[in-house]
Amino acid sequence: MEKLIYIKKESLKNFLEKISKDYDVYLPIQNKKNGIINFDSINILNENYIMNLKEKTRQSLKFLFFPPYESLFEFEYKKDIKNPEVTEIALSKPGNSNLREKVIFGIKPCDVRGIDYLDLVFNSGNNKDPYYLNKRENTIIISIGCSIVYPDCFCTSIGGSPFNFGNANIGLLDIGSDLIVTKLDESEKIKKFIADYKDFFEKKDMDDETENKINEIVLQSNKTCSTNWKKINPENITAKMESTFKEDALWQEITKKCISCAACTYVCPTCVCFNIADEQKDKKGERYRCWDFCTNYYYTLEASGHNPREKIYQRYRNKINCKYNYFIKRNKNLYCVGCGRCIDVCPVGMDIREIVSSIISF
Amino acid sequence: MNFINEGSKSLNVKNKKEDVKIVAFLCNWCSYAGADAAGTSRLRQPEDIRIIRVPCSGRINPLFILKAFNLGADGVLVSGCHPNDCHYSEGNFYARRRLEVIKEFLPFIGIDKRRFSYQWVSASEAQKWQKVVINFVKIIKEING
Amino acid sequence: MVNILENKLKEKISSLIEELEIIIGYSESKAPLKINPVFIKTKEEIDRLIFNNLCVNNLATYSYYLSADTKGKIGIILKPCDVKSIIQLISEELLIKNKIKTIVIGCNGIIDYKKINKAVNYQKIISAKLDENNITVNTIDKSFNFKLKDFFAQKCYVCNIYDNPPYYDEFIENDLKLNLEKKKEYEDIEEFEKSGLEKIYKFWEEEFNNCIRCYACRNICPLEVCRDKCIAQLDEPHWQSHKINSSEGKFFQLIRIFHLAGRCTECGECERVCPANIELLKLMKKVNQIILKLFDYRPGLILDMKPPLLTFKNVEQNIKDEELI
Repeated sequence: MEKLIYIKKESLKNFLEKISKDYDVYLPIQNKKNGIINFDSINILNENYIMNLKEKTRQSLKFLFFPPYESLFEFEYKKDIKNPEVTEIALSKPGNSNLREKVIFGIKPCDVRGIDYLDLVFNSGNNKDPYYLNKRENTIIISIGCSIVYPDCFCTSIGGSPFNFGNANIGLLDIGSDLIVTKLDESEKIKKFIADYKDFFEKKDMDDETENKINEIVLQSNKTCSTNWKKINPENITAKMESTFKEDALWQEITKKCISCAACTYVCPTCVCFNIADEQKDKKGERYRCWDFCTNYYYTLEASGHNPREKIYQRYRNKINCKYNYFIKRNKNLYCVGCGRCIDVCPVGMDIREIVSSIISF
Repeated sequence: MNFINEGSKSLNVKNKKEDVKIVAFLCNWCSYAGADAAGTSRLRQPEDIRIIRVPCSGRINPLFILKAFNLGADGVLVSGCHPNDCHYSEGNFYARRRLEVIKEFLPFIGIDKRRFSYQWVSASEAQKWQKVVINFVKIIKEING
Repeated sequence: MVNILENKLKEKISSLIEELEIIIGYSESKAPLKINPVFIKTKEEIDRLIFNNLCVNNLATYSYYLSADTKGKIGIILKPCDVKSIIQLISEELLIKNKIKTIVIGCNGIIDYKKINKAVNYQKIISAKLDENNITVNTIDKSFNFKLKDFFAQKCYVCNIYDNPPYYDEFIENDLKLNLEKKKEYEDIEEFEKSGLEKIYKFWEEEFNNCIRCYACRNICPLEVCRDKCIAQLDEPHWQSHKINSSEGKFFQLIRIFHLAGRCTECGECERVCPANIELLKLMKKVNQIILKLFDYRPGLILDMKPPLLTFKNVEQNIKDEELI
């Protein structure tokens, strides 16, 4: 009979405290003052900051690996008094801050998928981004499946599932009293991790009751999620996007509400556009990168003053095409994980499902 | 959100008591000339003030003042022609309204009201300029404690 | 009762639709406690229009950009407080009076859904139902029933134009009147100020830690028609760094505030849309309080009146020069 590994819910707190001695632990933490949940270090937990594993975080996981602003390097112009014609430039790179290994606990499966896509952008082929890798490497990802599916979730529509753990190292399933391990990485790192904390990973035989419970939860979640939107076929959608690209009237119609802010872009787990800028004061300066958003007027503004995507609908069309067309051609996958964050934060109620649906039915 | 906080500078950075940074915006026609006159008549003034010359006090955007605070100034001083005396006849009337709004607003974001002041100093008032600077620097040093 | 109002509205719109090129109104949304702006061109679409206590959005936001894109006249459905934004835009010559038809509906208060979120301990709301006096809100495992009168937006408690808009082309009277215990204007601001400089400074520092500079506050504002020419995003002159952090977020807000000084009509859209739940309206209200104190001026009430910072008096009654001598 199959052995079942599980963590008791009552020992969860001890487990997290224990691993925080050896690892930097990040959890979804809710600020009680304004209700926002974000990934943050376990060290800030107190009466105002509590762990919340139920709901999605406001910011996706990209916030940890690809922060809104990061310094790339600092530079300084140096002159020798004896040799004034020569100016030297001294560069200083930020040190490797990733000395301790990280554990990120309580991620939803959609965010795990978001990280897979970020890896495709920052860590595949010849495109290896050292700043991203510095934060991404040495990370153990512990994901918890979604026993509760909210109305704006639609991961099943685009090829995910509430219990598809993807590249997560450990996948857990919440059955109320316990967290059942349903996915375990084969790697040495994880074997060591399990062995180190074997007190918390308890084992028992699979019984009928638990099996039924698991099956029921999985079925129920999948069912609720699939009612939120229809299934999207990546192959058909690219053709549709191509054929509607020049239908300006359609795009104008569906994006009329949009106010071209960055709320949807900045909470998206897959949006990775950034801007690089130099800032200098006297002889010292810094090169940094920070998030940028394609619905922004300045995103495509050229030095001549011409802007190829002058109107909001043109910029929004690019955004949708980026997710539902261009990326599929390169990687055979939709560049959207179905977390529904963009729907949740939109100030004017733009719903990506409605927009894609009206393009499909055009 | 410890990630976001990295390297953030904050408004009203406290410098040491002896070492205060004060930014002064002076209008070209009256106050700058007044400060100049104070210099030529050898009136001693504290050296904590960095003077920026602007064409008119009406040229001063609220942004200038806030930016100065954001970059760590301990105090900001604005000085222009007396009302009714503006070289461009009405620049300082507009300025007066704007500057007063800023002055009233600063406490609301946690900056002491006394850290910002606007004064009218004409080209001939070298003595007044000296007193203004001495007193303003004194006040800022007091606040910094 | 609400349906009577909606029917009146639909009737009015059907009589107007011929002369208008496009009408902006409110429609049903799938998301609980929210409504969607809708753009109506044909008679068939009129049925989509709704009006209830959840119609929070200030549709004046769309007026400036839409009037630049359309040739004909635009109809906008507004609450009496939203009209203030239109008045302000017309006064500043940003909007041509003849291009806009303001269809104002008498208002009996709007719901602040951030207050409801707080009341349900910030659990995600999955469905909600509204009737005349009560609102039922369901989270994943609980159901709440609230009295409406505790959940109106802050501005409703000081509103005195709900039945008497300062400007309109068409007015649809609402049989339901706003019936709230009036609060003192700027009561909350004065309360906040008492906490002292140190605490205030800390408060904003903490609030802006969450700012991601998404510019939703700027773009939703009906009066900030400068979103494509914003100084905060320019490289030349480089007034503000592009960095996303607490101090830059705060500095951007200060730019916004002084841009809106003497113009802001306190519609509260900036605070509503903020994905980081920053209390932006507080800042705006403070500036308006100062403007009221110094110049005895309230934005958006009188047509063709210049904002106080674009004009001056030789002798200012309420401004006293500071003596440093």
